[in-house]
Amino acid sequence: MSQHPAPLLEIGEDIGAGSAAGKISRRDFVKITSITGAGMFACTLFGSVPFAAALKTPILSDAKGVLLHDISRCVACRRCELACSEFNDGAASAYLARVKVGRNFAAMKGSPAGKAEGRAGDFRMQADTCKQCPHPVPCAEACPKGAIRSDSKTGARRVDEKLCVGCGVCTRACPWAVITVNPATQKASKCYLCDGNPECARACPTGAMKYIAWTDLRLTTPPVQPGIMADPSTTAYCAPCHS
Amino acid sequence: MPTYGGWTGKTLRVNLTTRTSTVEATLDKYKDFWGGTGMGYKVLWDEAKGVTDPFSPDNPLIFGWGPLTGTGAPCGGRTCITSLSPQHPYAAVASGHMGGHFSAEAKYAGWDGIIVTGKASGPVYIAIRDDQVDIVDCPQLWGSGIYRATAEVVAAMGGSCQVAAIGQAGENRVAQSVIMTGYSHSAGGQGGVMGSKNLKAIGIVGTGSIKIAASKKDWRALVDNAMQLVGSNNQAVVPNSPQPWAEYVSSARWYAAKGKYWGAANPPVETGTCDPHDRQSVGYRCFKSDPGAFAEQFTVRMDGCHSCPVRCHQALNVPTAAKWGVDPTAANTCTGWWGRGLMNNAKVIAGLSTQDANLKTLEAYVVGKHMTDDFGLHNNYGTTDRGWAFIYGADKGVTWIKPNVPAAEWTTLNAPGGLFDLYEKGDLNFLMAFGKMMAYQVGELGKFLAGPVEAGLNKWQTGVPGVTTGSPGILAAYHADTSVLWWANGFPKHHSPENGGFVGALINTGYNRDAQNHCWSNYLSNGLPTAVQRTIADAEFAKNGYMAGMGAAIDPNNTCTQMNQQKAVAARWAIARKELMDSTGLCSWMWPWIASPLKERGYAGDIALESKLFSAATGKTMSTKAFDDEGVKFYTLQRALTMRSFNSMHMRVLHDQLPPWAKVENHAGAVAYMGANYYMKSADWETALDLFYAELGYDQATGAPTRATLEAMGMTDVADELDDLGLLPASV
Ligand code: SF4
Ligand code: SF4
Ligand code: SF4
Repeated sequence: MSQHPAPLLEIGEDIGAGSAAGKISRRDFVKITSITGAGMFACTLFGSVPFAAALKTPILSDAKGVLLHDISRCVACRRCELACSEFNDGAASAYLARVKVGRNFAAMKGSPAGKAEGRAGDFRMQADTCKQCPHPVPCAEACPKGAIRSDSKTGARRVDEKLCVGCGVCTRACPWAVITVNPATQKASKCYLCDGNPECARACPTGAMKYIAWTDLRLTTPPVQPGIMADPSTTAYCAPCHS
Repeated sequence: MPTYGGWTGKTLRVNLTTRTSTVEATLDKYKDFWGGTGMGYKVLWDEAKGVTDPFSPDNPLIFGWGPLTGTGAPCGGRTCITSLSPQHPYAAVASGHMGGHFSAEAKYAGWDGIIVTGKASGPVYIAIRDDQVDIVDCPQLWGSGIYRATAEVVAAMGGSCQVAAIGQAGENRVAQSVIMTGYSHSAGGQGGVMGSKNLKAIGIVGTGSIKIAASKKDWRALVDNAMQLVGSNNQAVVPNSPQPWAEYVSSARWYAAKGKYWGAANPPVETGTCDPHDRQSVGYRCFKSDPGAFAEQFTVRMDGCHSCPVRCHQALNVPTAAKWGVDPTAANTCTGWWGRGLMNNAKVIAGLSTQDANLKTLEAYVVGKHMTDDFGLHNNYGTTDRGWAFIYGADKGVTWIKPNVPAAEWTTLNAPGGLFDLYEKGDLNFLMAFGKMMAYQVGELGKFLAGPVEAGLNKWQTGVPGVTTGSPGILAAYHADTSVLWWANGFPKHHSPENGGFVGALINTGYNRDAQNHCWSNYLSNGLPTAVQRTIADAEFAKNGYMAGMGAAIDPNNTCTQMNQQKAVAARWAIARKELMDSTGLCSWMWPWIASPLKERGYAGDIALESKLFSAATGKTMSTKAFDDEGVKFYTLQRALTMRSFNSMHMRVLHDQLPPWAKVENHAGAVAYMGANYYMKSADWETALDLFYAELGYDQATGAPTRATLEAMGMTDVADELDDLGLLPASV
């Protein structure tokens, strides 16, 4: 159920923000209207968001790769966080890092949070990583500016900083809470797979973090409850398939 | 935007008496004495004048780290806690060190250090959320152990919160107490100071970032370089067993091998061959199983501090330990497992099959860890366990304990189910009973164990007035006992002449507690043949502006040869680097890296790496030589503080003495410098001090820094104050 049919659009070909319906080519429209399989997940996710007129195009083809984190090998050193923030942002920060480990240190005995899988209560530590979600991509669906698009090289869901206004809606839409708005730049920041050479995986001293061909990892770690579903303009766009 | 990197630019000061917090500009106020101990010593020098009671509200408690804390500089997760020490007879300055993620979180919250002064009117914790600092009343946490206190603060502040807390021991001003973070990282000696301030915990959540001054490309290259040169625990560079890539095999702390598994991982994880060029196996190298090979099957993984790829903490899950009423999971390293050492192994395993004996021994590790870490007790590098073994002796305490405790206490100790009974039966409930006695200072024995052993012995020498008769001779007997590992400053030796002869001995004179300085001993124990070590030392030091032939400073472990100039230089370098590790935030248990595991480099490391990382992170370029001079400066302020607490300039005779066991004259038939032992001739020790003081610019007669030296280091004010106090040696 989590896989939709063959890529709807080529990587990098996704339709950009602000696109009016009229800009969607006939070819794209045919692809869109032929979707059936993705409906279940999407419907659940969208619930009954009001229909709106403005249209935007969040249908992103699958990414080529994704990060796979091995909870049995992770030693909680946080070198992945450091590599991500230092080599991408020029600053060390657990908050800016697009992989999140430090926030899972609820390790203390007696802390109910520490008892959850991957929260170190039994020493097993989960790094939260971007799943490079398949359509419908929650962060992209939620973005009112259509600023989260697929990267031309890897298909990673990538923030187009020119379009991002830093509203933070995506940060609340991501079920794994792995997007952050950088307070310094006021731009959302999420994993873009480092153009296919993930710094986090390279920095990981145990090989716990791996870059693999894309596969649907959304069921491997439990999502947090997203605070926002989708932007109204998105749901309008989705209506032809998911009404 | 700051024009510098590494630092956040702000230091937090919390006055618990007035319940206020203020912000200080780090690079303004702590420009000359920076980072962990640099700032710590400076605050004490300025603000602890005339303070003799370590539990006075006027004794500042300084949580310090440095510009590399929280960055990708490897092994940079340390927190250095400095105050006047309750463990020291003159309350002289000392630092405790803990790893974990506390200091990184503090940096992300925007703080270069936290200075705590005063005393709260009741139990509080400090809640830091970035800029927001709250002092929160917590009477409900007073009386609880570290685990519960930490869990409650985490519950209040969220899962990413890092907490430093004290247990009952700290609350009760036990000198042998710790401040602990992250379940297994503890800083020894300062728990009681925190308790005396009614401060139960500090919780921190940080969402900021630390700017790196260098370009992303340069910083990445430098971090990559460091990650190539890093070894295993204590910068071991040679594996413990033959490996396909390895030229040498040694007893160094690099234990990974094929067939060696983190057995309790799900699924089990093989540590493997760990070729040093394989970036993705650095974290498997160490696998230091302190409880022995049997514990490997109970290992969930290895753990450690922020940014450190080496992982020296072993995370165990021993389900059967639950029968002793503790959580079966436990992590720690080295003497952090000290609870286990309190028991007599033969008694613990008496009558058990090998399998059951192994299991019970391992359970004792788990119970002992929980006892020490929840009560928040410190063993001062093994002194408590060895001191306990000494006073209990072979006669169940009749010689040393009985004359020093009231009759009723003696009866209780010996009653069925009493402490001695549990000990004799090898019952692991002994451990909790022991910890409770220590943490609450129960009876005269509890008071003895709660303090530094040396202090207890001094008291027992004459007895408790009106209660006990005392034991004249107990001090001498203790000092004569070679198994107690006593150093002449009253604290345990810590890599002394057995690791580096004169160099190790000189390093051990440096502090007002055990010397937590591994800069030299790590190198000697890195597994390389001595000839290779000497070749590398010759080149590495000369390259960085030090004298030629530094290889001549090296004595293989457990040997000692005649003192020479190189050894004085090495000792100066090691004490400088220890301060620099504490002040940059790097781990003195790992750094510096004179050697590396790379054969193609002739196993050379790079002793300029720390100054390069410092320069790149902060944007303030510092040569290795200038960097080391900073370390000597910090050390010299520590020396001045020590003199002020001693109220004496005569460090040479009062502070820098060699214990009798290190002198060859005290070992009948032993010959010095022939490779058979690490003893030295008394006269040569005096030469060693002369050379060492000359290197530091200290007065030879007293061992105190001279005015000229202090002024050259920019410490005219310190010289003036010492002069006013009559503590400055006469100019020659
Ligand atoms: S940021 Fe979150 S919602 Fe967006 S692709 Fe990644 S995991 Fe999915
Ligand atoms: S792949 Fe790159 S952007 Fe994504 S989490 Fe890793 S380091 Fe960060
Ligand atoms: S670098 Fe690897 S081992 Fe370290 S926290 Fe990240 S995933 Fe875990």
